[in-house]
Amino acid sequence: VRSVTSQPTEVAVRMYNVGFGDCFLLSFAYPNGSRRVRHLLIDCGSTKQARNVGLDKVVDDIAGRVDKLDVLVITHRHADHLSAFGTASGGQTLEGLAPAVVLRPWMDDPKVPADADEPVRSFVGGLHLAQHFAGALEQAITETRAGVARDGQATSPGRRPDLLDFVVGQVANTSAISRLDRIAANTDGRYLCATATPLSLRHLPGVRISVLGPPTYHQLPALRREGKDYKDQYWLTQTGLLQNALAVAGLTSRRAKNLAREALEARDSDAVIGPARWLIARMQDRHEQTLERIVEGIDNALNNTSLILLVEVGTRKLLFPGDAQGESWSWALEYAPNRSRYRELLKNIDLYKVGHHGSRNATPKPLYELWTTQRRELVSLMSTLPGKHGAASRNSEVPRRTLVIALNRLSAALYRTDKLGNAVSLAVSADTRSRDAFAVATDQQ
Amino acid sequence: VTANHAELLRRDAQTWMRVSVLAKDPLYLDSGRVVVTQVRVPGGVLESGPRDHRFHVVDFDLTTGKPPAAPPPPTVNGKPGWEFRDVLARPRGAGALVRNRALHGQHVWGVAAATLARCEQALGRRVPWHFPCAQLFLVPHAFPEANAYYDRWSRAVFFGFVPRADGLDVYSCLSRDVVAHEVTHAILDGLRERFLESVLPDGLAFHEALADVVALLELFSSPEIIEAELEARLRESRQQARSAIVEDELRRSALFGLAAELGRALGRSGGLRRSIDLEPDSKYLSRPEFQEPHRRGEVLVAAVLRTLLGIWTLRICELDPQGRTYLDRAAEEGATAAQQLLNMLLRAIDYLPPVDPEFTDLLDAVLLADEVIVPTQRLDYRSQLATWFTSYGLTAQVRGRSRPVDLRSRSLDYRQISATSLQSDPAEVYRFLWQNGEEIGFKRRYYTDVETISPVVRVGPDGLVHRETIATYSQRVEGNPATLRRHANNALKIPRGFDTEGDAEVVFFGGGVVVFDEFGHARLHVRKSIDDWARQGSVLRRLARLGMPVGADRAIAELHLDQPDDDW
Repeated sequence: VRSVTSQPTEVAVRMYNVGFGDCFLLSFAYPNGSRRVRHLLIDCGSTKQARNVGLDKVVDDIAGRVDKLDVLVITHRHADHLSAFGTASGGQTLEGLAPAVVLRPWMDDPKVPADADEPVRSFVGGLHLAQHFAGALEQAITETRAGVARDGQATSPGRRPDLLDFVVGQVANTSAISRLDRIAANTDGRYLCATATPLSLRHLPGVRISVLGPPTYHQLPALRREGKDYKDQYWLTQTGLLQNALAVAGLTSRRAKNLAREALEARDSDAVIGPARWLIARMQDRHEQTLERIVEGIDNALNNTSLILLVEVGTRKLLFPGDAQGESWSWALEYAPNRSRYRELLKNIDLYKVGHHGSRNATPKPLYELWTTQRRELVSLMSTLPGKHGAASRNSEVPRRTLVIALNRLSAALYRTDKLGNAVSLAVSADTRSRDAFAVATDQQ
Repeated sequence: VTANHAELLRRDAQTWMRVSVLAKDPLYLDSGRVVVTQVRVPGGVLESGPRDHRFHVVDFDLTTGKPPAAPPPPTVNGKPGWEFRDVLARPRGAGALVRNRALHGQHVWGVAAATLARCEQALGRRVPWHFPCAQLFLVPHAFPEANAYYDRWSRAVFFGFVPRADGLDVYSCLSRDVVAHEVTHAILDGLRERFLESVLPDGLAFHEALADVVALLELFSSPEIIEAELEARLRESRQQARSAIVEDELRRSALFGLAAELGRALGRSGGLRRSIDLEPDSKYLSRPEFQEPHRRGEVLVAAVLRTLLGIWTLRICELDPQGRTYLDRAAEEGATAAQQLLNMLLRAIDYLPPVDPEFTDLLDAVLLADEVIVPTQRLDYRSQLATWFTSYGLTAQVRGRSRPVDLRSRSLDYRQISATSLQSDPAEVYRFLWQNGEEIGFKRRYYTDVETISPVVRVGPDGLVHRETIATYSQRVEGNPATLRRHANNALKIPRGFDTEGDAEVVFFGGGVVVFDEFGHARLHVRKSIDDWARQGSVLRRLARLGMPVGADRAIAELHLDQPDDDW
């Protein structure tokens, strides 16, 4: 007998203390039916774990609370969003939760759709090449540093200490990806792009999921022809930034490695005597900046593949934008033909998962503006770890100070993983029929 | 010709060298070969590199880790000297040219030297770099990136390249307009060092605009490109030669597009920029997307190019379209118009305030500079430029902005001031400012640097020589915004959300240009008052918006990539 469950009465969002990464468990309580609590997991990964809370603890906690996953969402392929699937035990545990539906962005489909044209193929291939390049670069930096340590040279290559970290974050986590591909292949795996009609999943009755991003490859350039100006260069910029990396990576991984190594090794300046010697030392420094920009290009491109999901349940609206940045957001906010509907949807948000760990360009100001006039109280959840990425001196620190101030001003509460101490998670919940703000869940000690 | 005269003629030929460079870039072909043109470069002792007294080409590529490639010696006998051996003169296919990296040095050097010579010619003096060394490094194969930039800190212009699997790498150093653009950044930085540090968007935008204008108008000095373009464009309209058709055809020509090849490498089919396609609109500058320097600069570029197009069209339509020399003459008219316009704009730099330049200052400066050289109005250029500037909103007067002040009628205090010393001595210039503070609107209370004193000699169309001395000074005041507001008697508005707590300090700049005539009498004062609190208020608003300390350390490298303007 099919249960008559129609509407969850309560929704809880549990934010896990993963360090630098994302892991959110949404649980919906139904008044009746075969399964009274149903679960949706959004991402599970970390590139720098929280002190005293390992990723395995997080996975165990999930497994302890969840008998079965109804829906699994992997917003995008960055390691800090899926690395738990790459470990032997953690990955197995998560796979064991047998998600019925797996949602991922369109470009993560292991089979490029047959109707994809050349630009789409080259973009999708480009993302892979970019990650390949990152892998070669990581190896080169590591080898160079090891070489320097061995030779005991005084000069340290890689004057930008965070370059390696930054690179590591871009490298494809192949074991996690292949596990996810397998899970998705064996169940209902869907690869999504921004669409006008919301998803209604059989496994989550009464829950509507609107997909606001990522746009397809062809959506934004089409607008350029209408002369809509500047932001339209989204994919072009993506492709352009990628191109450097791709061009190098596309040749041979050996060349990519040489590129990195030569840039990082302290130069033996005997070959260059005279006025140019001074210049070459300077070039070396600039060259690292070049590499950093290439890696930044890869990072931006991958962030912008994020699914942007708006979850509606009863009176509640919850926004999970992954790591999507302004460029990808511009589709929903500025360019989509149905943007007025999107903008309506984006008003009166109850819960906001702060985009991209609170970085400077993942909470578009036009989006923020929509909330300044809303009556409903906003609760923001921010999974972040200061000191891992960016620098205050370049106004790129994560989380960005000015954003935190702005969110604090706007939100009834802003919860951050880096303030959780030794706690594995924090959960907030709300009744789906009232309008009171999300509150820290009662089981939270 | 007698042997004696031949010797004299030969020596004369060495004053200028003719150096082959690419007419545009390796995509610009004629019957499968890259079109090469010759530029004029001042003669001098050449060393391997090429390296002359102003430029040092260093062909060092960190990605291969190889020491500098040995370029072909630029002189005939391989020894340093005045003779020049042209390795690019022979026509080549794009593949051969691209693969033979040793040839690239000459191209970079030739375009750079011609660009510098062009600016020096207009300004009537040597142009210094931002740093004391007379040589600017040019690195043709600096890094694998679709970018090229002037780097003050490295005293160099770096040219990137995009490696490609088919071996036909894209080299930014082979794009003539890219080289001219970047070298213009270096030139302007030598003349007005604070433009790069300007917080208000016009400073950087002016950099970008001038660099684009120089790059585009320089092309007009190569008749073969113009003729080829005219041939392609005007063949049809030759029957009718109506101005609307001519104008439209010219406008669509490749002459007005920038960095076609590099643009393609970045995935933009129309080249990096085609500012001329920006339709006139007086509201651009206030639109948010036009706060980004390149985009903003395009407004100015568009106004200049439309002026050129207007004058050129006018001239072409006066020609007999059936005439045998129609195309030659038409090309010549274009070259003349471009040259005149470029001269006007370059000369205007001297009359721009040394800090916080705004687009609205430029037309003033052009008209003032041209007034000295060309006292009789050449209606064409001056009024056309003024008209186009107005239609792009580049003449809108900001309330309270100080206009250039004519000092000739003022009774100024020259006691104890030596006209000779005024031509070179900063202390003497400062004394002049100090002594005439009230009369000329110079505020003694602020810290002041006399930054540059340049003697300028120019030849007007009447053939007579004009001598001037141009002195620039800057002033600064720094402090916590709240303190500064008190200092300004609350005339300074602090934007909402601006961080006034903590020990964050801001620096406000002011400054001016004083032009002295050959008798040591001040003729003109162009200034940006330091206590113009409305302007300093916009500086604060801009800082609040960018949320960053803006300074020269922000390399142009990053400017050339997309600037996040909506970031937190």
